[in-house]
Amino acid sequence: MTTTPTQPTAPTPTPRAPQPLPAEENAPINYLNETRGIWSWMTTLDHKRIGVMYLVGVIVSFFLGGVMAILLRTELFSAGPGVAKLIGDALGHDKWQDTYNQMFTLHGALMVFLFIIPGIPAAFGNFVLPIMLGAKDVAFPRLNLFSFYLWCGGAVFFIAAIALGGLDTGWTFYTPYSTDPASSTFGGVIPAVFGAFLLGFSSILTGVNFIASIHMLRPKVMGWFKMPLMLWALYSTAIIQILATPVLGITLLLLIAERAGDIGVFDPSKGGDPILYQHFFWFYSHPAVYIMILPAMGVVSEVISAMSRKHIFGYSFIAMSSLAIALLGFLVWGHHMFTSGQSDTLNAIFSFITFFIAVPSAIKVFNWLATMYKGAILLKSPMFYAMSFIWVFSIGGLTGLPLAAISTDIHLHDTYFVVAHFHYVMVGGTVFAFLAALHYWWPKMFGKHYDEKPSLVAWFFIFMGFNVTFFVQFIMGAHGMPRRYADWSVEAWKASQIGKGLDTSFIESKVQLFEVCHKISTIGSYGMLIGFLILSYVLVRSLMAGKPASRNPWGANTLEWHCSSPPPHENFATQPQPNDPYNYSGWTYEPTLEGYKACEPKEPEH
Amino acid sequence: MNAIHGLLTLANTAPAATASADGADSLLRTLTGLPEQASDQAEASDPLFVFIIGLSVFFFVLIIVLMVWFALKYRRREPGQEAISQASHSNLLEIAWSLPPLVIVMIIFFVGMKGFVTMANPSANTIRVDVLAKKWNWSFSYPGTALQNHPELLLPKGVPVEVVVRSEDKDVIHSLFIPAFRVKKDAVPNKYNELYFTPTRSGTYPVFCAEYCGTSHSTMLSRVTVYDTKAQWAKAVEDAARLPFKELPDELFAEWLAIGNAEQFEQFREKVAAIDTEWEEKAGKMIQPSVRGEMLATSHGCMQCHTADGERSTGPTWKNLYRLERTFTDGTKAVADENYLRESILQPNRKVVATYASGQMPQFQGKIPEREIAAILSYIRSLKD
Repeated sequence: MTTTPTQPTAPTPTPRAPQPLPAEENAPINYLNETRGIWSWMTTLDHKRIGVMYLVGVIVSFFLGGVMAILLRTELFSAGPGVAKLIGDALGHDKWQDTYNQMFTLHGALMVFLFIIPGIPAAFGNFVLPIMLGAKDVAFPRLNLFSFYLWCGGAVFFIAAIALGGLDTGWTFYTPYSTDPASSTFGGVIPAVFGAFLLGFSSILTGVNFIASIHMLRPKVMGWFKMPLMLWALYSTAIIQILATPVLGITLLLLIAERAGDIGVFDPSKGGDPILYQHFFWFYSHPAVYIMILPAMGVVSEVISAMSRKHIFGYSFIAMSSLAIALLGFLVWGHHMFTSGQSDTLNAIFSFITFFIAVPSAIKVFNWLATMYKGAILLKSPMFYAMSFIWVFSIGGLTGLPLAAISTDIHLHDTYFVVAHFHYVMVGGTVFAFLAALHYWWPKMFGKHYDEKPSLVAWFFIFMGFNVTFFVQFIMGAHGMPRRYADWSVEAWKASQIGKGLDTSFIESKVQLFEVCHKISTIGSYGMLIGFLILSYVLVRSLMAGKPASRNPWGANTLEWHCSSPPPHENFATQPQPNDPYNYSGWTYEPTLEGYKACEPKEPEH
Repeated sequence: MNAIHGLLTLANTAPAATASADGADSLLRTLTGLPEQASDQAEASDPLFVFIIGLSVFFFVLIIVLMVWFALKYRRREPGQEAISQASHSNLLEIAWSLPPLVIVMIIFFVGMKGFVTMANPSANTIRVDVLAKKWNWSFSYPGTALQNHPELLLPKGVPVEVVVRSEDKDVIHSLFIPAFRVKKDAVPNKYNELYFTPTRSGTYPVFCAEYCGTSHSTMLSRVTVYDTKAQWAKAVEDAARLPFKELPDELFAEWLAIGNAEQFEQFREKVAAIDTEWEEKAGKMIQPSVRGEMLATSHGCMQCHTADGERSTGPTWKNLYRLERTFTDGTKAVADENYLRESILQPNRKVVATYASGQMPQFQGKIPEREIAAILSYIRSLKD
């Protein structure tokens, strides 16, 4: 910080700035305008530019996955053929159900592999991790760029899979369905699986980079328990990334070998075991759920403390609960398989361990609430999204309880109850934290403010739309609506094996209930769509004509707020001396900056 | 129109449920979104579900009320306002909000496991149903009766049921899901998965496939009919078995029902062949798997080394073998269920029963269709006292 006597960091000294901003408050040369041209971006080693490129990539993926979601919900607005039939006819599919199956597969695969997993750690993690450490870049900048290109490669293979006949296996690629030569989308599986394999490597290398950075680049005065909680979250995430993702890689290679080479690892007709595939797959994909949620929790810890202008409550408990979740996350994969016929002992053990995850999750939520208590809470977009995170994560977490208890899970497994649960945890959790992060770090990343009022309107539509879309799915799921069903109409029953002359009265009330719930859900999804459209408008407008932001509009004390907005290429001229990241006493409000400035006569904290 | 009906249904279920015999319990179930309750499994797991939902509502309201209250009470009223307190830790509080959740989730775990254990263990005197799933239909066979490969599930009320689910060779994974019974079991190709429950309420309920299986996943549907008494159920099973033999004279059909072994089947076949070859063909198709298994066991040469009457021979006897605990030459133990018996047919030297010599039996891996293995397993199961 320029104005603290201990550490001058920015290239220009900062006396009081009487008028708006840039010249004094922020350096004229920053990472965005330092060099120009697309080539300078494609070959950049700057973690901030790589973070921004990831941000663009994951937003594009989220958009594509979102288009699929809206198409799915439109199809499900009423039972029977709808928009899926229109698309299917245009693509020359024989059956509209095949079109639907491809749509939900693409929705899941795009959202999980291209958006949720890299979303917060690769985009925001890349941007803030080195700055929070007071470093110039991550430990291995070249590897960082390579990870990004691997991510792009994975994305290209996914698109190739669509071109080569589509994909209808679900994002889980369960065998023997995914290795069945009779399936309608035989051509798409290998490219898609290879795409997921590349994305896995991108994730592993990012994890390696983050762990190395936190170990090697942490300033001497920043002990482990002086790190911002975002770094604890990213560190825990990176552990999962490097330990679990290789298993996914091996599994996917085996799947490709099985499919291309006709060997029988998973195929029961060749002596293989399809349940083995599920074990391998969930050994990665359950910890992956925590790759999705842990960085989100890191964001929420930062945002709630900064926006409440109050020291985070229970720092070490939040940090350790991240690690606990990361480690417990490795031991619970079997709870995805309670109905698969695995041994009863395994079911009991997996259920038992699963319940322990409730404790660190509860610890986090209560500590966030305690942080808000007696704070000075700034009710602006980042805080609204962070509080929305607590709302949806609470519902998502609590509805995990009947899924972790074996006897109740047997009924709920593979129904819309599960669909609602994991959307609350993954979409709710990750998306709301992603949006909190986007609004919180936006002024830092781009040096611009966004309009607060339309941004809150967007929040309202997204939050309400989300809850309307997914809450009702709990109800129809508990009533027995299975997931991945293209149809639930009376006509579907008439087309089934017992359909000839069937008296359908036993199913009618159920069909009507499903119909109402699906309609409500679809209407909710349109609400979310409106919200995201407003949000896009707000952010694009901010980029084009936003008011310049000062270096620290929120008055936060993690190191990224000590450098200018946007930060210069090397972040800091000299290495800053970090103090307690949640001690806000060094910053006072300065109306002319619409933000905070460091207190002049402040003594060094150490 | 449908939507309006549906809304009415949604609104009417609650009062309708209160009026029914189970009263408050049923109301709670409806409020928490559970369908009709028609098995002991549903009775065992529903209270836990209702408890968890109640608990969740309590914690959710607690969290949200605190959050909204803090957000309003401590909101920043003017720019630059500072927090009232900077309190940053309290071990007492941490314990206060860690321990109760731990205790509560452990209770939920134990109750959930207990409910599951009843489903995972067979009771005595069960009725058995063999379920075969394939793209995209279900077929239900009733061992010990003449009804095979029926598209619907028929069960008596109050009698424990043992459902064995499997998917056809070279097919994909399906999952048998009956919401009214709160049961679900994956049908995996060539694997025998067991499910136990007792229907407690007569009526007709939907059956779904719950594991995504391709194009017609959403029409892989059937229904289960629960009959008030075992006699009514037996009659329904017989009527259903009669359907393919509509024109067969009653006394011949009675003979068909009584067939219990290969010898009786051969006699019957000769009799109907003399009348019409079409019936002979039909009989060949609809034959009980255990009888077919007996014929296959002979033709594959199994009976040269195994006996059906309890006598020791080159290989262990098949009499009372099913679900018997076996000890192997390496000292390990396993129960002789379908999965073990199938493995022993395909790769007999993997697990050799103690006191028997290894290498005596040829491997049948790749030499016998899954359908025939299933029939031989039915035969072994039928060899019980």
